[in-house]
Amino acid sequence: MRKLRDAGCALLFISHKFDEIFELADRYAVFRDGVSISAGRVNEVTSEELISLMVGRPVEQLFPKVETNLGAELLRVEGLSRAGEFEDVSFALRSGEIVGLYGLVGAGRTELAQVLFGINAASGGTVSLAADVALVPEDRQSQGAVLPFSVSANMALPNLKALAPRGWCSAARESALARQWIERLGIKAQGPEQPVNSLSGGNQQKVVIAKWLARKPGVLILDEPTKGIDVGAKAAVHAVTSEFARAGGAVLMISSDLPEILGMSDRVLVMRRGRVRGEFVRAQATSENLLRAASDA
Amino acid sequence: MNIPRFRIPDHARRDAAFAVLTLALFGAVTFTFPGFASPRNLAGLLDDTAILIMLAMGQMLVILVRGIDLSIAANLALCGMLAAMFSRAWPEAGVAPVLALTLVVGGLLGACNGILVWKLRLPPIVVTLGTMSVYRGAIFLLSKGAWVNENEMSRDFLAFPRREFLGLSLLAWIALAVAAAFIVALRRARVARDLYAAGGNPEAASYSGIDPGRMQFIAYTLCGALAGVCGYLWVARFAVAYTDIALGFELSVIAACLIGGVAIAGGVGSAVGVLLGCLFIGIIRSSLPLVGISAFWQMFINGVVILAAVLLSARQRDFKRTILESLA
Repeated sequence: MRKLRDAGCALLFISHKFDEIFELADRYAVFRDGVSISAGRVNEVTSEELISLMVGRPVEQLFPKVETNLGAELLRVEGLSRAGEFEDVSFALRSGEIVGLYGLVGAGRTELAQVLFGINAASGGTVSLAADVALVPEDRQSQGAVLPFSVSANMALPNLKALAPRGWCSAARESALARQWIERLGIKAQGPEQPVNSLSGGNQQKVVIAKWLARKPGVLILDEPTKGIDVGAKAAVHAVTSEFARAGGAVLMISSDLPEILGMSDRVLVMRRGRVRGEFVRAQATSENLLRAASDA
Repeated sequence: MNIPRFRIPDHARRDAAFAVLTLALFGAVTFTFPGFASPRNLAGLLDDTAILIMLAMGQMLVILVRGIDLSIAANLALCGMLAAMFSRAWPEAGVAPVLALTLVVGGLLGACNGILVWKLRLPPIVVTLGTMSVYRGAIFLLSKGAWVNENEMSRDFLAFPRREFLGLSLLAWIALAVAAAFIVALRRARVARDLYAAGGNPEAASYSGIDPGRMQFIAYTLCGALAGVCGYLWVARFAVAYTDIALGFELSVIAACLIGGVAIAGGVGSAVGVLLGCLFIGIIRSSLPLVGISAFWQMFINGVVILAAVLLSARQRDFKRTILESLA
């Protein structure tokens, strides 16, 4: 791109990756909800200012973490192992709590989530549950959503027992459910009938989250919930997560995004090579501590 | 971000376009041979297409879950032979036990395919190619290569599919009923939704609590049960049973599905489309003798239509992919 620029080309670079923007661009323009919000020179702006322009509120509110009262234990894991993936994992989640699960890629976090959700069987240890578990998987396009399905069909999929009690689906009930969640999560879709593959990544992710929240689970596991989605959708996902915890749910949030982990978690577990190597309450959780526990030091 | 305006689901639009095409074909034939649209001729057309319709409905279920059933015609032939031999042995038994027998045996033969695909995770094309030969071989072993002829079958057995109601044969009515049931069930039944999800994205389906393997099993079993009953209807209609009945018919069935817009990659297809695909083939098949060209042209035309249908859906997919990539 620099070559093209030096050759006299004018480039319009569309991205929500700030490091790229600050490295490449001379001038910027910010769009929100289809309207041009602001424009100027890149060297006269900070990434925080850009974010608050994009989201429409100051950056301090980016992680809308609310203090909650911790309630009863909803999930307890003791000595959980799956051969070749993770070993001897023990922790508990309480009502109202958001626990961050940090670690480098390959540390065994996703594999742990799959066992907690029941996709794979454990090879040792116990999981005690006092509530239903829902998992928003890492890859929304291959694991989370059935892309050619409509928004309402996707949201209905894990809820068909309730929506179609006698084995027959009802378009009216499904579309009512979809409308309710489109509204609640601010999903930008033309309507319940729009196929999910024509939505943006952030809105696809909101559909996947909605389909599981509609089941009213007690424990929500989020695996890299904001990977590759824009800041607006990110903020919405964070708001929904906080709201879920405030209403008495327990959240296990797997993320490789340090600011997200630090901003959202009441407690942080750090995994490395299939084991939990550190546990930090909110006050002790600093990026330094987490990184040290996550890497071989 | 430019989201394309969305009104009706993709398959409804495609079905509507294909309905127009089928009507145009029908119109063209009728224009040339006015006798083609006579009620008698249409009833005959439907009677000729009835078995194809039922088999294609079953085959569609299998293709929806990313499978294929090459053994469908062999299953039909084996159940047909069983039905004929049953009628020869117990001429007074009537039609009900024959229907029950072929339904159960056909279902079991389909379930064999399903188990092999589900539990052993063998590729469907290999499994059903194998069972196709096994089922054909079983007919030979069962009948020792002999034919069961018209005079050996009971009158009730032969008359059942030919009974007429309101100008249509019972065979045609059964096919219409099966098609109607599929149209409603695929749209509304919970198990159909699970089937589409398992074919459209097996991984996401299993994350949503649906076992894609189980869905494959269900599809093969239903497909087999339909093929079994069609075995009896076929034998009764043509009044003869021998090892090679319906030889190669599985290809016509798969062709009808593909022409009707069922995606071979799974997850996409509608019962209305498949019904239209069968009628399309039926119209071509019954009009070619009128035009005075050989039946080999029928295969040629079917082939061209399949290629055109596949090309069109491939282009649609590319179009979607470009939208996706431009959003990513």
